[in-house]
Amino acid sequence: MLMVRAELTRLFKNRSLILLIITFFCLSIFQCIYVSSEEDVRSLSNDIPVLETTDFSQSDDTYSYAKALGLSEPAAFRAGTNEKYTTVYTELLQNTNDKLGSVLFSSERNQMELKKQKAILEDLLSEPFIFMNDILFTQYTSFNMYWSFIYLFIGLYCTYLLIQQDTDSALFPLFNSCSTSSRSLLLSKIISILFTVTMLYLIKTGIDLLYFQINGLSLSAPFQMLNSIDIISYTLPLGTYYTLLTASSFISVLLLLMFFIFLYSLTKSSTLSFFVSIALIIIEMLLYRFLSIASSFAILKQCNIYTLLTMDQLSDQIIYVFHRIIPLNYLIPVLCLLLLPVFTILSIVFFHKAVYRKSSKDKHIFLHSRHFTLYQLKEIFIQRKALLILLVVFAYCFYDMNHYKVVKNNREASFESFVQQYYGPVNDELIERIKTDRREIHHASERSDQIVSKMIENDGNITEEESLELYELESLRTHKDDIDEIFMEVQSLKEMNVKYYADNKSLLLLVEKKNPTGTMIHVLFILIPLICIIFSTMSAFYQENTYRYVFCTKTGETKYLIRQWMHYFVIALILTGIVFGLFYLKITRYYAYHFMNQTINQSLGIHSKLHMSTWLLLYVLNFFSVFAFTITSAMALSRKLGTIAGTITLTGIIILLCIVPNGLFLLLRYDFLDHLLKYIFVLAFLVIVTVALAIHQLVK
Amino acid sequence: MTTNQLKISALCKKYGKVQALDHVDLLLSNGIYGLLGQNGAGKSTLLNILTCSLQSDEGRIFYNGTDIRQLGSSYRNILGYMPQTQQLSLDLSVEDFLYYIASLKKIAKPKPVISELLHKVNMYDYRKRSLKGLSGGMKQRVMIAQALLNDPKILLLDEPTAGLDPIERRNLRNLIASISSERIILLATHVISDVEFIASQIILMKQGKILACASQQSLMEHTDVYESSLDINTLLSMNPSIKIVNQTYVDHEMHTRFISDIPIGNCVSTTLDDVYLDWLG
Repeated sequence: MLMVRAELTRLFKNRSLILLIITFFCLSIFQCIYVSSEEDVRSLSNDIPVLETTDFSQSDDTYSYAKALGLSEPAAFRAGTNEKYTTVYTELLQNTNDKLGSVLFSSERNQMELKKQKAILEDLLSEPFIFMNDILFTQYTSFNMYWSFIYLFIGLYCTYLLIQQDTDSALFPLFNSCSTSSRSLLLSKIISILFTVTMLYLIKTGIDLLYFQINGLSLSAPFQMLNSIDIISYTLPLGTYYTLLTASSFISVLLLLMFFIFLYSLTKSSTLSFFVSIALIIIEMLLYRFLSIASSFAILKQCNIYTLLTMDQLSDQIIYVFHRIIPLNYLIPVLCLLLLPVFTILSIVFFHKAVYRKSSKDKHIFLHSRHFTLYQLKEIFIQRKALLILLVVFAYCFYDMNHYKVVKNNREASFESFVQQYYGPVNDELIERIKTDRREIHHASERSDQIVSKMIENDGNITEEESLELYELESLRTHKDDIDEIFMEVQSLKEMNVKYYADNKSLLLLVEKKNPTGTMIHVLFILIPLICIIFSTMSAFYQENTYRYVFCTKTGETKYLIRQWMHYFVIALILTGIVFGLFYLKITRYYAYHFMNQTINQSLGIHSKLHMSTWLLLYVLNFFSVFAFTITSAMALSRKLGTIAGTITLTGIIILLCIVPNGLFLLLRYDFLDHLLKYIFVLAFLVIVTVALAIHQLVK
Repeated sequence: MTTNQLKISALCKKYGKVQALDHVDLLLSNGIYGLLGQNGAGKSTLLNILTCSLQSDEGRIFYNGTDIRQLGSSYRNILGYMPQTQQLSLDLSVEDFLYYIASLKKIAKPKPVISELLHKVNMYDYRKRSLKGLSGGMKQRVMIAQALLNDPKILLLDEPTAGLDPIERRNLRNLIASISSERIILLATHVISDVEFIASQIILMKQGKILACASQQSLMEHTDVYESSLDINTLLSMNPSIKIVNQTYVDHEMHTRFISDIPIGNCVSTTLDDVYLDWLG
């Protein structure tokens, strides 16, 4: 107990952890505010008293009646759903009764299942339908996937902190001379970490339940209230569902924690173990997303920590386990029950050995080497493990690139592969080509109709030749609507004197016109690793007093800082290359790109006659100015702040600068030229701040 | 006064092909032992085995007649260890750090012990200060305090004065001397002056072997030191086996201090530096 208390004191004396916990609570409050401010959530909250007091059973068309009462769209839909539920469940009950009497379902097992189903349906029908703000609940719980990652991160970070400090302060030899065994030492660490995570988990769950209570959500209501009429899931009350949902992330924290300690015991590097544990989650996520259900490895989809983290999937699993006894569905609990003790035992055994082995740090500074740049890059990428960050970014972008394919439906994919052949200059030749193809496709369609009608007349009998012809014609016939659409579009482009028939969708996708926050997320994907890399190297540089040796060498302070700045800029370019390179590949994979031949007015709808290439150059320069600002400020802040505190602070500052009206985000918007004065002002501000920071740092 | 006895018997340790400890035999009882040796002599290996951080390949260690492997955690209860480190980079205050180590040493009521030790090592006024903000000397004093938390019968100190200024070094020496009456203190160091004033016995190690374990006086008696104004070549021609200790330029004359088994020049008093050079040089 004393040891646990001592480990807890160690944890909570850490400023970066306190910062993380404060961020945790801020996010929690943000979640409440964000969900409450959703238009649908607010309108439904306002309309629920009306829904509860109005008798909709008298009306034939409940939806129209609700609309006539002035209720909002979601409220009217829910009024209609009430009726739908009753109808569906009555039908299901009738169906179950029929099956009970049927010879086909006379086996004992079937009879048992049916009787159970009947009892549940009768129970459900006897209960009055409860109106509640289910959008609020679903929106709120949809955040839980991210929360589980936060628990995970905090758990891992606490472990990392304790172990890293022990290693850095060379405390392991000291531990060996104390009467406490390494097992007790490890257990006290684990208990203190779990206590921290549990405390956060309980506070968060408390906030959630309080929030649900305030918003009138009945947690005892059956699961079907979540706008779903899934027959399998209805008996689970929302409260149980929610508890299982959040508890599952806790299990994953435990698993990851043990995995981390096991890995540390083997590698002796807490930083490496930390990144590998994070990478494990990403790999599991990729496995989960891309593994086909038909694959012989499909079982990996179930035996996956990521399944524990993606709550929706898990809830399905739990529901299945509750209702159907299929061995596969036991895999998740079996996995937890098996892996947890396995990792615990392995961690304890190997940690014991790890404590007994000394580690040493290799600190060489080859300042006079002409391979200074190579050395710096080696230090950043290999010794400071920045390469791992790059790999993580790459993995995400790769995932994002493939994920996009999943989002598109077959119809869109078919159209996009068909339309690509017509992209190019809009001239008579193109129009003629489209006309010819259109005629051919229409003819094929007519001929196909003829064969089909003949087949219907002859009770499905046609000759073998006709059958083959029909098969070929059908592939052309599918593009009948596509070619009409292309023809109309190209005709209108010619009338507007547009030179190229290009894929503007790709460009709009690139600049994320539909989703401006998407651009910000992509930028943060470059900036956060960059900030992380800068702080991890520069903080160590200052905190380990290396700067004292460096600044008195031939290289000198100014030259060293400028060189470092250049290295970071190169890393920023590499990251940009990865993020936008893969993004570009993503677009070109599905869309052709001819937008470079147009003006931005034609392609992006910006009120300017600038050519696309000039716009692109300016756009890239905007990014570079943001990078320059980030690098300079990170280098300045690294004198005072450590890696985690610095990364959190600077990321917070940048996000703040982005979200303030007319802030940094103006530089990252595709239509920045539409707000020319504001744009120049923001750019000038950024340049002045960057230069001032740089001068201040160099003079200091 | 209780007498403690630590017997090291035929201790061997090999790292690959390197013999770090070669049949080390020692018998230690209450008092301060200065463990001297060059880099790689095996001092740290010996300390690591004594602190249970390493396991020996051969040989045994007995505390008051019982094998320390049989004693297990009760051996560690009587052990105090100060590692050679100034890297304490925890976010804890001095007091919190001592509470932390006290919890590891399973001390039930650590408050009065910590308070007393902080006074003893002159760190009471700095008890709320973060470890990160301490000077090297202060960190060493904190490390001494943590080693003394369980009132150890065996105190192992690895380079305790590394990085300290002469005044701090003197204070630390006095502190060690003041607590040496009821325990075995083994002090491993390169700095001869650290052990010169306080150690009752000197252990000299070279290439994993114990060359000598005796009092300073008896070691000094075996080493004859002379001083002469003759140049080195002449001295070497007179006795090729002499070991030069140092040379000083005084009154336009070069004076050479050397160790020799035959008398040459003026015989002068022997210091521990001379002994170190004689045995290990």
